[in-house]
Amino acid sequence: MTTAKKICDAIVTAAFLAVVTSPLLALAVRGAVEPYGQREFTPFPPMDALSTGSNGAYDQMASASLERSWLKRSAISIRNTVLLRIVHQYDRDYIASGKDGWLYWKGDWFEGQCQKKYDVEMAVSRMGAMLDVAGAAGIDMYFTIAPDKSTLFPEFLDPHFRKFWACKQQNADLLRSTLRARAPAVIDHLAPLQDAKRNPTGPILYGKADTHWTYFGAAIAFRQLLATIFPTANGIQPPPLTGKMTLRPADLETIMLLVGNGHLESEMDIPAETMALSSIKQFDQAGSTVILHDSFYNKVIGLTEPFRHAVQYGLGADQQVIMKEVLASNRLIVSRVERAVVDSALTGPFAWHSTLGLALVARDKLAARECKDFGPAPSEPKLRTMVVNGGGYLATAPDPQMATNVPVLGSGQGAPCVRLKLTLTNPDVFEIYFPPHGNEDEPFVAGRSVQLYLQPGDHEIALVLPRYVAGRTIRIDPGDSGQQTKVRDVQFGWRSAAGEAAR
Amino acid sequence: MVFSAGNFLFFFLPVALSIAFFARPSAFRPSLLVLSLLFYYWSSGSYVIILIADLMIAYVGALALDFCKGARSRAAIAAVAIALPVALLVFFKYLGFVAVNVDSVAGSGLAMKFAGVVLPIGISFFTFQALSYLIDVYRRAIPAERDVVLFGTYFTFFPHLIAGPIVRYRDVVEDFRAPKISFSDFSAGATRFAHGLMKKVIIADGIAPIPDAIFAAPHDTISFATAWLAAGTYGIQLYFDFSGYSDMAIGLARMFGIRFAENFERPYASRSITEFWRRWHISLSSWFRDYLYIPLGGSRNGRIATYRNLLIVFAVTGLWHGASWTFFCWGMFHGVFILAERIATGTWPNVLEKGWLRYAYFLPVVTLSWPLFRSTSLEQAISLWKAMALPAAADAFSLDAAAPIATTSVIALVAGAAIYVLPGRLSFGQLLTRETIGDRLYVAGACYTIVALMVCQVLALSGGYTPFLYFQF
Repeated sequence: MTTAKKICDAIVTAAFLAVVTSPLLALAVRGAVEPYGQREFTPFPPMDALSTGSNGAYDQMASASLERSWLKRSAISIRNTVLLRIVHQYDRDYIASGKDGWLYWKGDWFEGQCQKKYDVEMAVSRMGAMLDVAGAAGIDMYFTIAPDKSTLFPEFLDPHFRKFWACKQQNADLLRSTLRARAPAVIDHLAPLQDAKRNPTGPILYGKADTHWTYFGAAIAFRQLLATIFPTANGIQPPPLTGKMTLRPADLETIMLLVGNGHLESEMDIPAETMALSSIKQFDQAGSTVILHDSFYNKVIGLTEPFRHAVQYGLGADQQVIMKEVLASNRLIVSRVERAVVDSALTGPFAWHSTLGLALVARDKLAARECKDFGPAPSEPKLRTMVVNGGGYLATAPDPQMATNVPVLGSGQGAPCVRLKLTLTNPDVFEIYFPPHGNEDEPFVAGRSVQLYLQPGDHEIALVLPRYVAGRTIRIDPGDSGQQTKVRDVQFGWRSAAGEAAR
Repeated sequence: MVFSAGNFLFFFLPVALSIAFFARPSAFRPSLLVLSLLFYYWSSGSYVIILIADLMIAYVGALALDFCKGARSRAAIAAVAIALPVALLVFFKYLGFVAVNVDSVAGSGLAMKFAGVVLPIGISFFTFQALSYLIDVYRRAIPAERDVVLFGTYFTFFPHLIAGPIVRYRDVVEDFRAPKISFSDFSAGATRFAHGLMKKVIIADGIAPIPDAIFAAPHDTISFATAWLAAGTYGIQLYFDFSGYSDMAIGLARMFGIRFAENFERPYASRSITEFWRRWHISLSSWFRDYLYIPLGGSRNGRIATYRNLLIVFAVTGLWHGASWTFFCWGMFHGVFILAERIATGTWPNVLEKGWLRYAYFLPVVTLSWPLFRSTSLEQAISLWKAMALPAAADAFSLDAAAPIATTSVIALVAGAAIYVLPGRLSFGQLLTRETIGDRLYVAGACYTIVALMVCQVLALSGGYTPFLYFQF
């Protein structure tokens, strides 16, 4: 073998050994890096799992070690930078690239699945019901929706990844048509942002490499909210800019660990905007405003000057704190990004078993303390799979229902109230369905209800009902274990308009 | 645990190399044995018992064969020793399939009883190693190995353990008996390993989204063009995936001083299906030749018997790949074409000898076989064949079911074709395996290896887990 070949062998051998050993050596020498890419590190398996060879324990140990190595972090950074900047196509767990270097959060697209109409209708109906319950409880509540980036900027979607976003437009249209039909009070920020987008020389509204809107986009959305709360605020000038450009890091680039993270963005004049909005403060009658939000409203929080007293919390904040604030507030603003709306209402932070839902029910119960003149329903309830039994109503089969008329209110009577006396032998979800806002003849719809999560025992529950149900029919569903739930009595009363106003 | 995964490359392998190389010479084989068992345990958990059972059956069975002198008793011992690993293979791999088919005829509900049976990784490979060893001892081609550690090290040696190649004891026993680990062997092994890793992580994984998308598309959306694209790209993906794995196995073994025979010889350069099987998964095809085709009589008993033997061999070859009718039909498809080529020999003189004819005959035929191999049902394969047969259909050249193809897949496809499918003289992979190349090419090979290692390190460290296609067998 020639010397050249021997040298080659030595170099190849050294390179091979360096390549296979360097990740662990880097960990040993440099120590563990901080978690990256918005993920927690895989924990090391317990020693007993390793000694007994529990399923996956060795893989877990290897993954846990390698993830903490600086070299793995660097490898991810190199791969992603090459894919995005050179190949111009990036598609990994959470993120896919668009045209012209745009990046999208794949969660917007539900893995290419079209959302089910039933789910969307139920979710939106629930939001509508929450607004009604909040209104009955004396809270001025607003739901706002931040549009998905791919809803506002579909023109930058990459056809290569059509399998992911194929249903995007259909999902967005379904949500909006359902909102118009079932919860028109929900504030959708899409329209004003689309208006602003029509100005081709205007500042960018969403970060090219960020999931979220820019400060400018956030300000436009926030102004829409203010115009809804304070109609007098309509007509103030567009959000001001300083004329400077600012290099801002973008969350998607940060997650991807891209080399050279940051994008130039027109700098908004936040003090000037705050000053402009402060003129609205004089119209704010609410004692306190609570804002519950996701990451989109982070950029709005600096602009809450128009409110006399405002506090804000992430939707995942401490449950006791949220409960306390909602019980004490006059105004509640709840914001969510479009992609998360349906899941939030079905199983997430807008469900009735969530902190927000429980807080609204608790607040309604508090308001119901002012209800008076309780008496029986004006007519006998219509029962399905329920019978009159021993002075109450007992279910005879699953899915029992009791449709009953709410008395018409007289003058000076602000809102109807209902009082239920129940005996439960099992934990159950008790549900009161409200009729749709429109035609009396429309049927009850899934989601348009308030749910009460009850433990076994005797209960006496009073709730203030939305004003519009007076003189109409509500439906009381004792829940799936209805055969063990006895409705001992259903009575209706009223709460004075003065009591409502005092709140 | 696969060779291209970060957990193997950067965790198991450095630990294995250091333990094996820093161990005293007398501890080399025991350390390799323990590492290999750990490797299998890491991948398959308690199924390591099956591996050890097969190992012990082969070891004890061979000793018994050596001990007994009588022909009858030897035949009985051989039958029992061969039947046991075969029974394990049948239980884990084929009983579920049989039960499903019995159910479809008799409606007995038998399949439910086998629904929970999980196929131990690599059982087809190590069962065949056990069989070849037992048969060789029975035929007195080799003596039984008395050193259980040596035999165990060979049998469980992690480079070939879970996806081949099928390494015969007689071919490697001397390497295991007196391992000679040299600098140049290690370097050659590293080069070969890097080469295989490139094939897997850049080319096979890069091409995979094309066939994956088309095979997942609704049958009625697949056009003539997409059907051929799916079959063609799957054939290329499968080749790079499996030959990449074989390269890695051969390279790893060589690092430990063990030389495995080649498992692929540029199969797409074949001119016929017969030649293809001399170049594709050589360790399997030669196994079937030596331990099934020849014992059945080979081509010694006349034409009809030869044809029957060929069809039996290819039916079994198909079923070896998986317990399903698609694999059976895939094997039969190849068998029928080999039969046809035999019949045509002499009546169709020299027509297959012309190299360019492979583009007209061999490549379309082998491509037609891949839908059977990849499809999850015969219906899917047939619908793909229908699309492949209809160039005149409306939208025949629509690529909607596949399009748009990602740039990375196009790069992988072009690189794969350019680097590895070109004629032999230009094939880089072949060059790397040659022992007698000049200094310049040697330096070029070293540069390629270093770049390949760095690229693969980035991809393996940053990427997720992508299993090898041949792991399911």
